[in-house]
Amino acid sequence: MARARITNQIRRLRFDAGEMTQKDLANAVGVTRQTIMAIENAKYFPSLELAFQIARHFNKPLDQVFQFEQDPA
Amino acid sequence: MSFEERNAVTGILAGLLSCAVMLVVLVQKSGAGVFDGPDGLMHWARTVLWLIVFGIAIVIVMTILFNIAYAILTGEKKPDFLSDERDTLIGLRGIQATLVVLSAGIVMAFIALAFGVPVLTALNIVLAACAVSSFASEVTKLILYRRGF
Repeated sequence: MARARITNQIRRLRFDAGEMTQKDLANAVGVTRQTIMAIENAKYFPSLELAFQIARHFNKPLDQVFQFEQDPA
Repeated sequence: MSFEERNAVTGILAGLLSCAVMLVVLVQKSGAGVFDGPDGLMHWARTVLWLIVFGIAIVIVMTILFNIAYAILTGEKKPDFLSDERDTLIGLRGIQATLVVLSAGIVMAFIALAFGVPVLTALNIVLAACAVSSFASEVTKLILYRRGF
C-alpha cells in the first residue's frame, strides 16, 4: 500500500505574517498553542474545519497550507 | 502544557494518592474483621462509597493546587482553560483505555467467582479494575500529549 503523508506550510506562513507566534495563531483559530505546535511538527493532523480555519486566517487556499503526498507503492 | 494535559498529570497523582488511601483503609478494615459476617458486604459498600467521595475531593483539590502551582512557576498571568479538538480525540483514547482495562477486570472477577472465590474478593477485583482503568486512562492521555497525536 502506498504511504501517504500530510505536510504543511504553517511555520513559513507564520513567518511571512510578520513572525506571528503560535499562540497568536492558536487564539485566532480557537485552539491551544500545543495543537498548533503538534500540527506544525506533523504530530497531529487537524480536522477539515480547523484546516480551513487556518487557511482562511492566512488568506490562502487550503492546498497552499496543507499538502497531501503519496509515495508510490 | 495545555489545561487538559495538566489535568492528566493531576489525574495520575490524585489516582495514585486515592488508590494508596483506599488500599490502606480496606486492608485495615479487612484485617479488623469489619467485612466479615452477614453485614460484611454492606460495610464494604459503605466504605467504598466514602472512599469514592474522598477520591473525587482529592482530584478537585489537586487540580486547583496544580493549576495554581503551574501559574506561579510559569508566570502565566492569564491561565488557559481552553480545550480543543485534539483534547477531545485524546480524551476519547483515554476512555478507550478505561473501557479495555475495566472490561478485563470485570471478566477477571467473573472468572474468579467461577472458581469459587468469595463475592467480596470479586468485588475487590472490580474495584481494583476501576482504579487501574482510571490510571490507565490518564497515562494514555499523557503519553499521547507527549508523543503527539
